[in-house]
Amino acid sequence: MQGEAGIMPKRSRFVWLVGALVLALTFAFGACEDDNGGDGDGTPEASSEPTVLPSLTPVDQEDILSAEDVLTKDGSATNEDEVKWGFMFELSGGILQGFGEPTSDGVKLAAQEINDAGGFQVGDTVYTISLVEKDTQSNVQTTIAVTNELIQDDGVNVIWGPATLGEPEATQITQPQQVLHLCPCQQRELTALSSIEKAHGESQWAFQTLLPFSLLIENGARNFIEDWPDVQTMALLCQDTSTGHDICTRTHDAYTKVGIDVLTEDYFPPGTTDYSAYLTRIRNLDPDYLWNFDDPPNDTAIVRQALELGVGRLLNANVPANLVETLVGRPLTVPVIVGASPRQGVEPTSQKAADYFERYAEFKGGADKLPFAGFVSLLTYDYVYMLIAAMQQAGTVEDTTAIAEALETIHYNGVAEDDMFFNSRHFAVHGTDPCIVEQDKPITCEHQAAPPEANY
Amino acid sequence: MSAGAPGSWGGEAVHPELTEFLQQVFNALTISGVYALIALGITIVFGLTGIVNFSIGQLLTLGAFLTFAFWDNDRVSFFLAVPLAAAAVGLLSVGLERVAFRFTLEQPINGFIVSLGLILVLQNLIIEIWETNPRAITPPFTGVWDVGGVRMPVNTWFVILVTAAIITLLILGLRYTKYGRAMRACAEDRDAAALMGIPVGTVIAATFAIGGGLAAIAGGLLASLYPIHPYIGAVYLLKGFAVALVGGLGNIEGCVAAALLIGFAETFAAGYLAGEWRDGYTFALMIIILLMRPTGLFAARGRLQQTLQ
Repeated sequence: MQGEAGIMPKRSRFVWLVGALVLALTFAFGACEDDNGGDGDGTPEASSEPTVLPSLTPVDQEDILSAEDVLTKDGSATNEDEVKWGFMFELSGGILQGFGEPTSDGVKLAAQEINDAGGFQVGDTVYTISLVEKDTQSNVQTTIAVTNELIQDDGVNVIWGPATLGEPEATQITQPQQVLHLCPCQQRELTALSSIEKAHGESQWAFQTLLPFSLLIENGARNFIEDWPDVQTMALLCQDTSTGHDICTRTHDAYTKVGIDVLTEDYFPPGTTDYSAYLTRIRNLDPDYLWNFDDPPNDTAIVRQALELGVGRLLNANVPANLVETLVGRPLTVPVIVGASPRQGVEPTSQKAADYFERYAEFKGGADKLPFAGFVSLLTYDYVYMLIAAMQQAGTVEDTTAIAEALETIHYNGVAEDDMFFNSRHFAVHGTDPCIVEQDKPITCEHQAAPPEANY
Repeated sequence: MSAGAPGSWGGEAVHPELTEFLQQVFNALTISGVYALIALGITIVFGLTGIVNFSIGQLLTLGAFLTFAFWDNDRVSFFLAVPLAAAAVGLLSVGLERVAFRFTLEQPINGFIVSLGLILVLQNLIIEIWETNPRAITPPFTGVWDVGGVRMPVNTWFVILVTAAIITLLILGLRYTKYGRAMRACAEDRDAAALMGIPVGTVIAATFAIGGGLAAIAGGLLASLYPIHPYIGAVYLLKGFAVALVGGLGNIEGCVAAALLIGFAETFAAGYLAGEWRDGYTFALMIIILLMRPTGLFAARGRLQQTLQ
């Protein structure tokens, strides 16, 4: 890859209102507060965790389970049954639907594959999966209502979702009732899973299927400075929401830490579509890198207007790499960095990822039916298999405490990573796929491993 | 990169503060034009019927998506796609007037409620057809004029000029054409207008068509400026309604003046003050204006006809 204006990379990152998952994306490249503890830091709190736990990485490769292991039946099964899992995502109600649908697809696709394979065996029973589907309507109150419905009316002991909105409120319902609750839901870093004690105490049935933003961002900054050593200055332009502030502040700190001079950190109201006034102000500061955080696709409007106004020699976007040129709608006169977690589907960075996105396209009825942010389906897909592996290891589909304890130890050879696991704070450990999009050049993507500090 | 950008007119900034100011003026003109088109769609229908049509935001969205559908990578020229979308949305607006709004003319508040329902119907229709994925139209002009450091995308100039032309035609049409006079008469007194032989129902339907068409044009033009998605209408509806209120509901010139006022206030607030408070400044300004002039800046006496006399 090669940038312009003297920027020479050596090698080559959404809301609970619209962007929390987007952030995972943004933060393939993208931010962290101090490492000394306090809620919100993805690394263990110094005060609450005096001893960093040893790595959970298994010694032997054969200890890593695969889908084949999960689906293997030994012939001793004499019974058939069905497990009923709760399933609540943003399937309507606004722009979050664009993330809720693909995130839910990951669960559906995995469940379909497992059922098509005849189910999974626990003890002497082969189970198939039945999803009790609920639409949160991208609304916190509805999310609370459907969480209660799923637990009280439908009697589920496992809930998937939501993608982002309403997760803290739902988790406050699921955890006292010992319901296994898995979702990308990045707010857990600040709430239910803000410490190891919580992850092993009041929130022991909550798992986040996304690496904490803090780690994503800090790791992104370290990788960025290696890739773009000539970048000296940057400007941040972010959505004025709590997520936006959190992300931008972390980004500011992380990039400052790696030696980049952050010239300004500007905020705009949610729903903005014309950023020219902000960009005009930033232009006077002449930053090398304009980094933005907004809901996709509005972030591509920032890119377009930055190109028009001549702001920055390097830009970023949170949309799939193959859509950047289309959505920006004008020649890319400077490189655009695009991120996706854990894997993007445009230029797959592994054969397993390529195969997965083919299966996903087939599941959706064709590549043209794939949702805009289809890659977030991988924030649930592998974890369905991991949950089943944990049930098999615990020998139960009902005892959620035993299953949670097993889930803490499972290592799984998945699509996102060859060795997937939850760390001691119940955060999924995975890498990211940053891509570079340049005019008239092939899109280049590279998988960057999870930061080592995630493995605790 | 400014001087070397494709289609640019090279120029060096002579005075950074002046350049920034002029750039912000250009930025403000752009957003003012978009706000004016949306507010006109609201104000023209209100001026004649007293109905506040909140579904105008979704008509804008529909216009944007229809423009995209007609254009779809140069299937037809963008310059043809926008009028086609405007015609389609105009026809739909006539249909909506015939099947829904006409029954609310005596009770405009019912028309307002109908329009709220239409928001949901139209939004879900758009999602059903185009799904939630965002779309973008390659702007018909991709060059950027750089004049002394003030960078002006040609496409943005195009949007400003088209908007100015539409507003001028609308004002002239209402003032000097037979339909314009009929519309003003209907706004004054529908019963008297009918006794004078004016086809009131037709005039009202045509007014809905114009309102919807204006929203669709705004949507089409927006689609050439920003990526579009099915929820984009809500943002512009709020701003468009604020502009229409500040200008005086039913007052076209007031609407244009208010669009400029709001557009400039937003831009300069974002450019020179705390940017995150941009909407706060704008709505505070709107509240102050409405406290001082409850009927808006220009609507001194009533509806359309007075303001056009």
